Amino acid sequence: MSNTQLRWGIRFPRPAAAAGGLPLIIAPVPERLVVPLNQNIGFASSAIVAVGDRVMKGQPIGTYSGNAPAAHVHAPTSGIVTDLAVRPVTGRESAMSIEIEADGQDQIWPGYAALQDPLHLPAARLREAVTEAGIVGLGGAMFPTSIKLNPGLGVTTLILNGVECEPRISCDDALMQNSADAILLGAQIMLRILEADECIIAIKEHTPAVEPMVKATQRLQDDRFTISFVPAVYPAGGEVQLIELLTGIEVPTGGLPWDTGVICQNVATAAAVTTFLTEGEPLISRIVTVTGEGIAQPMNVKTRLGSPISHIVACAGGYTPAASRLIMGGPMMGIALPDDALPITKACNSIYVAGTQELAATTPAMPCIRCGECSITCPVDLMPQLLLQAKRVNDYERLETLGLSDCIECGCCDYVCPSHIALTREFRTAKQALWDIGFEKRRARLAAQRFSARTERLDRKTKQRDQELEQQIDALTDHGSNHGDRARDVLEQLLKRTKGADDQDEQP
Amino acid sequence: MKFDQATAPHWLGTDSVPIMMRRVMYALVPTIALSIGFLGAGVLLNLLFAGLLCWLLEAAALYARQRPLATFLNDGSALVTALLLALALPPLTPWWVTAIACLFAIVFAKHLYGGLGYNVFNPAMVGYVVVLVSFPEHLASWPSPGAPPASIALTLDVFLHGPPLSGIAADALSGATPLDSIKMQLAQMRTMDEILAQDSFGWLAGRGWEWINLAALGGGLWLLSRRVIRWQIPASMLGTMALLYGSFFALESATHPSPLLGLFSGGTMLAAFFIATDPVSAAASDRGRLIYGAGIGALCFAMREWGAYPDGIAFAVLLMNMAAPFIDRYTLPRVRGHRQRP
Repeated sequence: MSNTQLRWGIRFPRPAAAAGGLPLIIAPVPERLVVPLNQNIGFASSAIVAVGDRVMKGQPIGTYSGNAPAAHVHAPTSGIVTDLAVRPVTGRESAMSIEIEADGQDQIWPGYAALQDPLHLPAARLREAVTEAGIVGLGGAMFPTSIKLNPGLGVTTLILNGVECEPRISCDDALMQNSADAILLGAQIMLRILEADECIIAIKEHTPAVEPMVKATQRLQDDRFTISFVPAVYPAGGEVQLIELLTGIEVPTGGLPWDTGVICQNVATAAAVTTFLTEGEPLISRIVTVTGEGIAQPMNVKTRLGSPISHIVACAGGYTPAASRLIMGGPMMGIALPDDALPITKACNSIYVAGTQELAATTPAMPCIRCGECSITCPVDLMPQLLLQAKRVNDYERLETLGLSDCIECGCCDYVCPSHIALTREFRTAKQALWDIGFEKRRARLAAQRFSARTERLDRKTKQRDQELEQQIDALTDHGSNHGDRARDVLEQLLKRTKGADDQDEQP
Repeated sequence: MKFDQATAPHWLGTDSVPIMMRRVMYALVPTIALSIGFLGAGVLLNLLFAGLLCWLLEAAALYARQRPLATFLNDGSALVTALLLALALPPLTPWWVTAIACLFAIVFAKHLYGGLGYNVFNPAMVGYVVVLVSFPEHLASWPSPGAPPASIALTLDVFLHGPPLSGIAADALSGATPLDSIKMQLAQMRTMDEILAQDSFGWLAGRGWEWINLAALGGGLWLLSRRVIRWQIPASMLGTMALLYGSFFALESATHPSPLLGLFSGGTMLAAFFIATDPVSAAASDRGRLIYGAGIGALCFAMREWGAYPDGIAFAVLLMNMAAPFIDRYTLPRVRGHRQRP
């Protein structure tokens, strides 16, 4: 895989300071933490603590039951629950969040035991542990890990993803330099749970993590493990892109990665599994890259989840005067946050503070000149220039045939566009519209079904009643000779009236 | 602390339409310099006049269409059109011919179709073809690069008042292009060897023209290296022409020009790297562009070989412009994860 020339994607210039990687520091526990109960794709868990409760480090504070895609949430430190309210998680989303005032003792909850040799535990017990630890995909996708670690999915190959997708993010690199053995043990545990045959470790070529990971793999002496070096091309670390790069298998459109028999797990996810099993510490901390032109001393910070962003920014020397945009994630796909009081969540691999210089100058967009650079860079082989044309005339059918729903919103097309057209934004709204249309269609179909079912039901009911009444009329007219005709009139009137009333009943 | 809000991606590349257009102009510099050197000051006069006029027409059209003047006047696209158009015209062209060509290029072919990015046809080629079919007598005569170039006085005279109807000056200074002369002489039953032995031919193709074409090739390769253009269109156009010239040359070398002669004559290189590669009017996908370029090459060869005009490049480009949407329809690439092409 080394030295491959990828036709798609962008090779960003490597920052000068990245030669040995950013330094890794451990952030102190802040005084106050806010832990959102929805830090995963799927459903939120519900709080099992109340305001005023004392919690300990690692104690479950939000749980769920059943098989819903959800993840448990744990107290990042010991302290008192001071608030339970809906709070913003990003600028757009909010979630029920638990505020904890730290007591500074960092007292560990005794509920989880550290295990000596987790590899000998039964696979089902290991999978349960992953659920208990509240582990989600730490690459940023936040997919509950235990759902992906399902032996029933028929996964044969596990890809251990150490290829940081976005430029400038190096939290996984720092982790691999420091905890290579823990990562590999986690991968072994995952293989055991999945009953998979092999594990491919994917690392970006020429990064500081290469050497420690290669050495750790050699120490492991497990022939199920191989290492692949992936070119430093964005977005080669994307799950679907990585699967294709390493195995040549394309994830079919509309399908899920595991349909191909391959799944990806982030190296940090694997390390989190090890941490829980060998130390009894659930997912309460992670490494976050704090960098960008707006950060005084860029570094990797290991921090408790729930720490305010301002806290870890302070650890990295604070802001520079150039700081102008606060981004959760990287510069290509990250979300701009309105303020730095928001908490660090499981999904947050980086806090990127962009400076005025590196931000896209607000030059007005020019018309598309069909140069085709966007289609060359597209990792999915879409034709963004034609998608844009179709979007401008709201031709959703064409958008669908051109593969709009396969767009991964990586932003490469925006980056290379000489006309500075906000293609990704256009596609995001178009995807939403396409989804809405699909929703409308489904709703219309359901309404039609409901309508025909109701008509049928009414018909049946009316017929049945008619029959019954006619039988009664027949019975009456048969017997009586004098009363017969009169009775018939009355009954027929009655019949008419009930029918009318019946229709009125069912009128909406 | 407050932060600004925007959607991803937050980084943007540094390329822009004005930069691309400027690079195209830089790449044209050698061609322009050699054209002036071999064909005389008339080339420079054409370039300046067409440049100024196209820019003014662009401004007028933008104003009439209520488009932001500053943004679009700085994009350089009108200037590129003007340069290509001026290079296609003979050095001794009366001003009104140039003016009509500019008018059709900028106003009709570009702005009436919606301006930058929306033109179906290559503006420079539309302007050129309009005057080619309207004023054939003015566009057929080119000075021979071997002869001393026309004096400034004569150049200005022709520019202002049109060519002298007859006389020694007119005959001595203007003649047929090498391609035209080959065609005429072959019709007079001369062989290629005889024709090429004449003074007006150099070591590769027509004297002077070979150098102008080499300059265009060099500029084109620089554009390729800067990724302003991609290789598909020039490669398939030149490849197709080489193949066709080569086949006919192999069949009968006495009556057919060699591939090298064909590729380095007329506006071949300029067209391959600067005109056919105009992305707006070309096919969109890589495969589509291969077909598009091959079509231009084949049509160009056919028109040179059997057509009435000396060089068929402009017509070939316009015909393939017309075919581009059709080519797009059948050459879209397969999206990853899909079984079939859209």
